[in-house]
This record gives sequence, C-alpha cells and structure tokens, in this order.
Amino acid sequence: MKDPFLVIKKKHLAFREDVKHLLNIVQKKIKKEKIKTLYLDFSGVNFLSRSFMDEFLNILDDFKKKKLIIKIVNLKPQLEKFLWQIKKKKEKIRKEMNKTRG
Amino acid sequence: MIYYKKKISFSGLNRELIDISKKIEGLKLPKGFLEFINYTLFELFANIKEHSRAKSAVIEININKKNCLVKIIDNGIGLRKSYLLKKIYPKDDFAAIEFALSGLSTKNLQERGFGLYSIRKLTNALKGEMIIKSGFTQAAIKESQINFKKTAQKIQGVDIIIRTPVKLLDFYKAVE
Repeated sequence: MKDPFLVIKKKHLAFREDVKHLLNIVQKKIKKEKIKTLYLDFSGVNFLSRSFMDEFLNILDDFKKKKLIIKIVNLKPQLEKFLWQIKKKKEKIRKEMNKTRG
Repeated sequence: MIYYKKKISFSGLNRELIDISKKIEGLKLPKGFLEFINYTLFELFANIKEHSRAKSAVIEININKKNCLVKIIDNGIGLRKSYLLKKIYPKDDFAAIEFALSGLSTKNLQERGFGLYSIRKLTNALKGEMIIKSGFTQAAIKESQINFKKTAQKIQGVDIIIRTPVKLLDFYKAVE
C-alpha cells in the first residue's frame, strides 16, 4: 500500500483558521482511510507565519498523543529551519513553565 | 517601487493580504527583506483577525529602493482590552504595550504571543523604528530603546508604524 499523502494547496499559511482548515482535512483523511501515518506535502507552500507554526506544532503534539504520526515533507529549507527554531523555543518555554510549577 | 494604501473591511483581510504579498514578492528586494515584510504583514494581519475585533483596518505600504514604511491602523478594541478579555490584567495602556512587546500572548500564557516581539527584533536588526499606539499611549522603539508617551487623543484600536531601511537581513537569525 502507498503511503498516504496530502498535498497542501495554499501558498501562504498564516492564520489560526488555516490550521483549523488543515486539521479538518487531516482528520477526515485519517478517519476515511483508517491510517496511522500521514505525509503532509508542503512543496507548494511559500510562507508560514509564526502563529501558524505555533498552532500547527500543538496539533502535531495532539496527534502524537493519539499515536497518529503526521510527517512533514518537501518543506522549503528556510521554512524547515524556522519551524525547527519555533519547536525548540516552545520546548524551552514548556520546560521553564514545568520548572516554575515544580 | 510600491505604494499601497487602502481601507479594508474585516472580511476582506485575507484576500487583500494575499494580493499585497503577491505584489511584494514581485519586487527585487535584498535577501531576507522579503521575508521580513511578509512576516510583518502576516503577523500584524493575524493580530487584527484574531484579537482586535476590528470592523476594518487601514493599510499603508510604501517601499522604494532605500526605505520601507508599513502602517496598519485598526478600529478594534485596543491592546489593553484585548488582554483584559483573556483575563490578563495590564494596569494601563503602557503595561499593555509592554506585555505585547515582551511576547505575552492574549491566547495562552504558556505559548504564542511572539508576533510584535519578533517584529520588534527584526526592526531592530534592520536599524529601523517601530511605533505602537493604543488607548492613550504611544511607544516608540528605536535601537532597542522604548520611549513611552501619553497621547492627547484616545486611539480606538491599535496603530502600528514601522520604518526601516531596505537592506540585506539575516532573517532567520534575527527572528530567533
């Protein structure tokens, strides 16, 4: 069986509603095809805002908790670097918050 | 190279932003500068859409070979009220602007809220200037310094003015 792919058609992903829209499509595909792993193809995406990435990373975490794997493929190198930076920053904030809570 | 000024209704923000972005992407700009402009516009538009409750916004963009101006004025609830609605309590407009510039989100105390904070960092990296007005307060940020002053008239929503030279920028380093 071929790995399930989902090609993102929007060139700019910036707002919370973009994340919600993407989440809807992903959930429908997972349910319909009964899959555990989904590849999201970002090859046509030129811009991701920080807000989008932040919300998107939250969603990836939620899927991970449900043992569903969403893999990002063909993301432009500079956007990949940016996403990685935000991921690291989020992890740092979470660690600091956990420390504060004891 | 580009001059754009328009009053945009809330429902037209998405479409207009994509149009502006396409126009700007067609310009010959120094490396990293296009990312700066796109990032700034998308984050500011996201703020309007997600926090301001504005009915409309006036957008002005002027980019020539040397200088860039971005001016965005919304007629929403302003920074302080936006925080108050999320049960975050800045004591006045000064504090609300400080919260926004320090990266405190109105969405969730643990995350987000890096929009204005990052734009400030990027503007500093370009040795530019950023002015934020909300309520009875104006903050002018230049060379990492913030100067606050009271405004004679109340600003209904949020006014943001960004002026920078058009030059090379290590965007991904500056935005970290």
